[in-house]
Amino acid sequence: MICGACGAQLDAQDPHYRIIETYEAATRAVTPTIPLGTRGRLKGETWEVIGSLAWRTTIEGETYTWFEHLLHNPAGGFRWLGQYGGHWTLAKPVAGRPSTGTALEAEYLGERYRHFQTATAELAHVVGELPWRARVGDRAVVEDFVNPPLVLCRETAEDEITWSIGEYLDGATVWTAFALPGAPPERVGVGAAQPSPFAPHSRTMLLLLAAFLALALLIHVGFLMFAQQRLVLDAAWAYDRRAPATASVESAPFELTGRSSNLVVEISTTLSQGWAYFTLTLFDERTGTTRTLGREVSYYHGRDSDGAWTEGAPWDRAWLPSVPAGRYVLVIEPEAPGPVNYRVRLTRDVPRPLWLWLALGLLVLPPLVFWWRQWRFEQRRWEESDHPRSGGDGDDE
Amino acid sequence: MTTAYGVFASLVLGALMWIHFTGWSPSPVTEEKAAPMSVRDNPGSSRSSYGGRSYTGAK
Amino acid sequence: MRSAPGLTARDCPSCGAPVTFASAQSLLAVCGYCRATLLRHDLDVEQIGTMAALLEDVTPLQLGVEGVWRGTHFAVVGRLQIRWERGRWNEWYCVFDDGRTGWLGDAAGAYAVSFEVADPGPLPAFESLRPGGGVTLQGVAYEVTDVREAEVVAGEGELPFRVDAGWKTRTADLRTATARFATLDYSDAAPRLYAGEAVELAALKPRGLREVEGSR
Repeated sequence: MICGACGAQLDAQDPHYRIIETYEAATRAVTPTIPLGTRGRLKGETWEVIGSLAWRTTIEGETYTWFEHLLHNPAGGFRWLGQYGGHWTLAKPVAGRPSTGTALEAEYLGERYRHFQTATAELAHVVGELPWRARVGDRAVVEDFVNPPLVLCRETAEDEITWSIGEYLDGATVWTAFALPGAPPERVGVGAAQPSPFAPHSRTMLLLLAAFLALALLIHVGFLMFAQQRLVLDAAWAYDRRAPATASVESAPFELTGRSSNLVVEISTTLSQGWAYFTLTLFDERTGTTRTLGREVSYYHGRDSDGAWTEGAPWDRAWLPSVPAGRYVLVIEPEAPGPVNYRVRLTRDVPRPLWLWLALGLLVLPPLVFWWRQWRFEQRRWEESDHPRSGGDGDDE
Repeated sequence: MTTAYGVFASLVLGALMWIHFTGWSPSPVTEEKAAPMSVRDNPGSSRSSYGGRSYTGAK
Repeated sequence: MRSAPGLTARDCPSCGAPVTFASAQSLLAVCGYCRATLLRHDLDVEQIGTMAALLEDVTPLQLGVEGVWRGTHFAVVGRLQIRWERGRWNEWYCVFDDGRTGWLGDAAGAYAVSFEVADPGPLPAFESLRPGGGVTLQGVAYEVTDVREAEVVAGEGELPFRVDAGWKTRTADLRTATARFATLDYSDAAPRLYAGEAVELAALKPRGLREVEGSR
């Protein structure tokens, strides 16, 4: 038992209360985050803080300190409320015995826990009434195995091995439970057993992605099945700069039926090592509306040291949007340095594949972002462990 | 998170359906709805019978 | 107490208060009034000393607590308080309705029910036991979790053997992955084996627990 006032260690078992150890609490002013004697309600039971410990460990030259409060409820027993870096765990001894197949994994009650860290901890400070004698300087090898939000801990001391199982709590829960003033310590990084906000949704995201991709495909295929896709014009002309009559040609009138939909304009030419520029105007005979578009077609090919090459293509495809039903005439005014034969095909109401690809691309984006963020979260979790994940700059803390 | 994705996906799929239905496209089409300015400014004004010139100017 | 078979009453030779033995197997009793240590003979009891005082404890268990383990009702009739280098625990002697007697270990909130195994066969030497080591007993593979040199602080109620304050004991606790529990007791020349299981106090549906300040 430690006197909370002067820091002297008393032997509660000795009826004469001999003072065994005195140490300077002032030089190492480590005050418990939750004062001794505080009562609170966690997990449906009332607990009183009866002891407070500070543990120290040194890893690669750096010293880390974490804190544990011993909670007691006469009917419920004991619990350990540990805190490190703003992350809290509520732990209790396990009744059974977890099995460790390999040093990297432990199994308990059908759940698997992955090895997080092994450290030799030294008791740096102890205050309060503990059910066993704890001395500053006591050492134990602590091995943590995590399965968020749970953590299995094996403590090996000189003459005993103790297993405990802990559950992650956040500072706000602890602060509310014990009605503490102010704010809990800030969280640093990701706690070893901190539950992932992403993991529970991961599978749903995958299912949703599959469903939405399938839906997009279905919509596109549905429109493909019901779209008109009717060839309304298929005519060919010849152009020669020297024949002025070929500078402007007009198609026979044609009808566009049904709802307002798109019109695919396909020009195929006999171009080879040349170019041609086509100005196409679609006249609506009833309303007088014109729609004009200009398309360049160029095609060059040859052979060099790397093999055959081509540039451009002897054909072109353009999309006219939302053309309403009506009677139309197409006027074409070509320009080209040399003679060229060309064929123009107009097809009405064609579901454009580009939109399907765009939709699929957009649908894939949020899950990718989600999974990237999940990966980053886990990377930050394991950064602090004995097994940091690659991808970071590899510096161990 | 999943509901946000659901809303977003619904918007994308809705847009896909609307685009396919209306045949929309951001293509560079110049559309004019002007009434003809003269009898000569008719769809056939660029025919060779007019002298090979496109006459759309004012009188 | 419902566990009435074998209930025998005697008078304490020191102070005259009634002393009851709930189990025919109990050899020793501590008078609840004057703390005289009484050894039981066929017809009467003989005072062999005075029991030392128990240390203050926060355990919710006390003499007279009743509970149910695996469907069998039991009552707590005796207690041993034992201490070791870094702490102490209680062993509560219990009488079960089916006539058996067993122990309820109570160490800082960890409880275990165990019964002495009559013919345990060859048992490992105390010196060979290490925490973390494996031991197979009665066909069950255990892991050694504690190895302790301890001493009895005091007792109360009735006990199945003769024991006194200051008696030295050496014990080792063993557990399995499925919460099975065993203790090897090397106090006597011949080691004893007790086997059972680790339990949660609430699972025993205890009645008559001690009201400790602050508990709800």
